[in-house]
Amino acid sequence: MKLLFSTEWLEQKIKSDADIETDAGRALERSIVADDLARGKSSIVAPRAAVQLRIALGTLVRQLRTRDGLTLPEVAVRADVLEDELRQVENNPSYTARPRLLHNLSKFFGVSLNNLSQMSGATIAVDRRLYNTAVQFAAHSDNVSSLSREQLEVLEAFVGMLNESA
Amino acid sequence: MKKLLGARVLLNRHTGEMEPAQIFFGSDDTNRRHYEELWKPDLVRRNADFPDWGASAEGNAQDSHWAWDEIMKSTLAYENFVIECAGLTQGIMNVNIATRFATLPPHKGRELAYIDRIATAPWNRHKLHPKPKYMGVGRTLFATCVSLSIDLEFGGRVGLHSLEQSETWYRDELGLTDCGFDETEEMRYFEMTEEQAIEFLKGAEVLS
Repeated sequence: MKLLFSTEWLEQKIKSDADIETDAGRALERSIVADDLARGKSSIVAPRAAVQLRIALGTLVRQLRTRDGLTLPEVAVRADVLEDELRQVENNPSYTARPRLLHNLSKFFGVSLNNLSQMSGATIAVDRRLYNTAVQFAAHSDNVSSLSREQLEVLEAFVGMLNESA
Repeated sequence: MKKLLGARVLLNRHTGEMEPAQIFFGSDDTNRRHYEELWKPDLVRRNADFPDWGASAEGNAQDSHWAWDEIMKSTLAYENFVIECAGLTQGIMNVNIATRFATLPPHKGRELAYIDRIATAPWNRHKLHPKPKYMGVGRTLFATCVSLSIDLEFGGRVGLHSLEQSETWYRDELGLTDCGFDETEEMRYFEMTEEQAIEFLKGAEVLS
């Protein structure tokens, strides 16, 4: 390829340009959890954003099985995962789920594996939109044994977003 | 692969003089070293001054976490560029030439060169340094992207999502159309049409 601008043109333009910021691109805007990690926060205490995402993941899994009328042990059997691991995912925001568990849950509930992995803290980079939506979803969801129509709608919208952005 | 596209200039703000700069297609280990040893420590240091990621936009240091291999994408969909001056990497740009399309008439749906990242070295950024060094990286790389778009027969069409602090630059200085806030990316989307590309390169005087 050829550069279609001369040195003289460039020189003239630079001299007359406003001296302001020029950086751009979605790549610069895309990650959030990785940034927390890059700040060198404690490796013992999970980064704030990662904890929020895991809370959202636990809420999602619990609500999906509630929607389907299944108990935790029933999901463990049907999805072929360890009951204790599943319990950790639902209730312990410090717990990082293993890839196999996420894979099986993804298949069982029909939710994007990539997004489940990001929510579990298993990946370094996390999509900012996913982060925002997941935190909102968790904040508006109660820990209940049955879902109201409104809760079901919120859940379905979130699942739709997860699969749409996969 | 790294190939010299041409020699141009950048303005050294400290001396007020233009200095020779080289624009390259692709990058090599020298650029990687500059990024890992010079860019990244500066960005991470600056980033640590802010309470969270969103606030780090104030310091224009949101790109502190990226690894070089993530930046220099090796897929066929991307073309990567670097600009060097005074022996250092002064700017980088990644352009997606395969999966993004124009949204503005009259060429809506046609190919465009989509800038996934255009970043200047931390020591050239106002918000990172009280006396930033080189000016012109953004314009030079953007003009390179317009050249690429024309070379690919995309008619000079270019698209990008701007960081908030740079929106004025793309709208008012370079003349792109502000297509509004894109909910998907949570950023404003800007696009340069074929007509705007002609206007942008007016007087550029490269005949062959």
